[in-house]
Amino acid sequence: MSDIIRLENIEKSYGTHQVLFGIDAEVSEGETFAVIGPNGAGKTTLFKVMTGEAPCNGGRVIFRGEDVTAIPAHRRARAGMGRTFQVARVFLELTVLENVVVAVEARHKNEGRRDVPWYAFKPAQSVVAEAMELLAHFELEAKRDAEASELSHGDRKRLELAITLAGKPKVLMLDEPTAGMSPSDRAGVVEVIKRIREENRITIIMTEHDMSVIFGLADRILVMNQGARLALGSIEEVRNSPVVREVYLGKESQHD
Amino acid sequence: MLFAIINSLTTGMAVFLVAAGLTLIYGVMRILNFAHGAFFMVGAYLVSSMVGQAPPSTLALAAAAILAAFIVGLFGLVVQRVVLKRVQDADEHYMLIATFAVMLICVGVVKLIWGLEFLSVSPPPGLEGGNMLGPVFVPTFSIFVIVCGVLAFLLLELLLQRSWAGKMLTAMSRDRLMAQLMGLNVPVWMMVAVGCSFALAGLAGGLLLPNQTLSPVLGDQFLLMSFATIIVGGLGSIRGAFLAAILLGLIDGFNAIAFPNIPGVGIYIGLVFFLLVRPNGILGEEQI
Amino acid sequence: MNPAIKATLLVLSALVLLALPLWVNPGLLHLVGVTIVMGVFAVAWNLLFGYAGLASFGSGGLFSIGAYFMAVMLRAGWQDGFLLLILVSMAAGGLVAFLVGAIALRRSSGIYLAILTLALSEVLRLFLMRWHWIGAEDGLPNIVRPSFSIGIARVDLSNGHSYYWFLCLACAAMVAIMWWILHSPLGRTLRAIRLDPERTAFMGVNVYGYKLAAFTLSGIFAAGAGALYAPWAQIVTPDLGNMTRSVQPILYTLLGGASSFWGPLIGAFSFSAIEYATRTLVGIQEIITGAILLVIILVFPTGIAGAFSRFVGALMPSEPSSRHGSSVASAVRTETP
Repeated sequence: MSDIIRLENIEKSYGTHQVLFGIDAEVSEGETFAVIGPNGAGKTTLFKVMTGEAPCNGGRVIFRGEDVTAIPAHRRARAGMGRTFQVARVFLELTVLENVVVAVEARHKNEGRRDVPWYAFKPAQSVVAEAMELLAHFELEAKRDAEASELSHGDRKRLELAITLAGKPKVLMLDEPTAGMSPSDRAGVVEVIKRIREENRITIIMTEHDMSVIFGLADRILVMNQGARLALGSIEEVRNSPVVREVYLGKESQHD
Repeated sequence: MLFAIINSLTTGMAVFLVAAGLTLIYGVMRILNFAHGAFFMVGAYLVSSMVGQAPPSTLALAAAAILAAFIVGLFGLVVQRVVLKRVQDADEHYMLIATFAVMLICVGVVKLIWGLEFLSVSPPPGLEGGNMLGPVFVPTFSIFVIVCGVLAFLLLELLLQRSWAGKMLTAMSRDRLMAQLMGLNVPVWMMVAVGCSFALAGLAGGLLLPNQTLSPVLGDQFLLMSFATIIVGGLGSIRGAFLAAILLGLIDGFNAIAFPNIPGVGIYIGLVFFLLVRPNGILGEEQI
Repeated sequence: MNPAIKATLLVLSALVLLALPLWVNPGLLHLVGVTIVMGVFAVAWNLLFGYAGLASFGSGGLFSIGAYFMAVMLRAGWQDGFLLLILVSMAAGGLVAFLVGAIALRRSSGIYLAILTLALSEVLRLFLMRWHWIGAEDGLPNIVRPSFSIGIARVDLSNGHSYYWFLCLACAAMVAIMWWILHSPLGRTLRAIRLDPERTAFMGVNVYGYKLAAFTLSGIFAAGAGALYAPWAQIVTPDLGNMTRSVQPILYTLLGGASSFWGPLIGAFSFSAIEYATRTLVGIQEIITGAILLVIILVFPTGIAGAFSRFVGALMPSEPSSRHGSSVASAVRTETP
């Protein structure tokens, strides 16, 4: 297995306040990689550095063998990074179908495909078909003409996943996929993520608070604390790491 | 040369008097108030009605200006209650438009009450004429404006930095949520700030009245200059506005000497330059 | 709203406008002509605001670029190339907008972009006011309405109502092109950008590039509106580019409704109607305009078009009526941090 993303000595500060202190990590192709740590550990910032939302002040981000440190977010997205947000972000004033159509159209354009002449009013049949397939996958096809603002929280999360997968990412980055959900909904999300992983053979990077979700999904875990890397390894390795036990898992002895 | 500098400083301080209130209201409410120039104009008209076209004395002018400040401040409270409070959580474009609407209403009221004719007011006896400062002639009124500007700045600085109320306002403009957490009655303090801001506009209108041609478009001229000032100075910063006012005054003075046939362009070019190179202004805080 | 109702309304209003010269007096006709042009100008502005989420307060500058270009060329006797002149002035507006946007959109947005564009159009206006060969403060009067030939036929727009009809046609063409652009994939992507630029970037869309495209297109059509305006008014002055002018399309758009393509046009006509009704009342006019604007922002942030489609929606239960929120909070787009 080769590395799909490699982080080399990432440093990040906001003004005088440093949030990331020389993070090193590598994510192998096809694995599910979780970033955990207490609030304020720098997980979301690390995410932003990887996706290109926030440029880092030091270090390099290597994506599929290419140094992307200075490359803006939309070009990293084209190269195969897809991401979701803690609070699902979809286009509230567009219909459910339009949400996905925009995403499919964007990918086709980047692939240099021209489905319809540039002056067409209606999206191409092939685009709509592809979008409907994605909606069906997430059980949203019945709501295709509803405005996204009318959707429930859970539906929005699924729509966001559909939008993200419409870009056919190589790496799927999930920022707290179960934030604000009930335990039963969480189990559902774990199932959905498992299914996505199997069907697309996709690399997944996620941050998460809920240990049961992590243990159910992750191959390897990066543990962060106060902007620094505490440990990196398989669940077993991390669990047995004395540093981690002290700082983090120590408080959650029920997982022992 | 000295004459030009004094002229520049006069322009700068006049603009600062108007811009101070504008930057104050921005600091507290994050609203860029298009109506500020209009309320400045209302202040000027109010004072002109009180003192007539030939004010009897400097004291009368100052007293009238303070009274006008009080009245305009009260208007400000009404505007705050009826308009600003309701739009403050909306998209910033809508806030701009809302204050623009208030400005239109103000202009309409001014036209209705005072008509369309141009009105001019001469300086009161104490501020007429001028003195020779070395080889150059300095109008007394210029000195009056500069002194007023510097006084206003020092007073505001003192109030905001030293007084308890000022510290509250500063804290609130930094972080509204934290201020609420600390038990500050934010709505009340907002009223105070808005009242002060409008009062400053009214005061400036009164003080700058002499040598001014009063017309319903007076507000526009000062509004654009004040916008430039507070943006160059960094939105919300009184100190920045003071420095920016001096800087823009000097640019304008230089413009008047070097390119006399296109007056007023320098300020805008300076503004554009600052927006592109240092969008947070001279003393602006980093945007989050 | 039902497309059939929409189309009927559209055809009806077009017919009324075309038939107008047959019964209204010249003064009112002049106002209607100006309103049509301003309506197009407002649609062009809303292409930027309603679709890309950018507010320019300097569109008056682009309008006056088109108007001045046309005025100078027509006075120089280039009547024969009138149609070409329209295209060239649009290109000029587009070029200026592109250059401004290429720099400004990288560095600023929101309030800063608003003030930046306002400052630039003021600079332009101050230059126009001082430039003697284009009339300085007095502007350029006596602009002829052109007569030119296309192929074998000769078109004479100088007499009677012919220029009015030409104006209607040209404006309809511009509106049609804008409608077309905004309903193509480009328009869809722009709407997505307005709603959430970051999310759109993660779909691999070059957000800056699209914003620049919208900025340029808006400039093209603003200048086009200006170019059509010059022969209609027969005079251009530096005040075409002042702040009040730049704010007109904003007022129209908000009055009519930014979320609808037709909103700015509806707003332009409503606004003109108010102005016409209050034209003799000095001062009252501003008060009424300001008050209406305030009421709209505080009570109906979706404008006339939004209120109307809600009304129609309420009459016809089969249509989803919850398309437009009613409170400021739900309809006004708050930018995500």
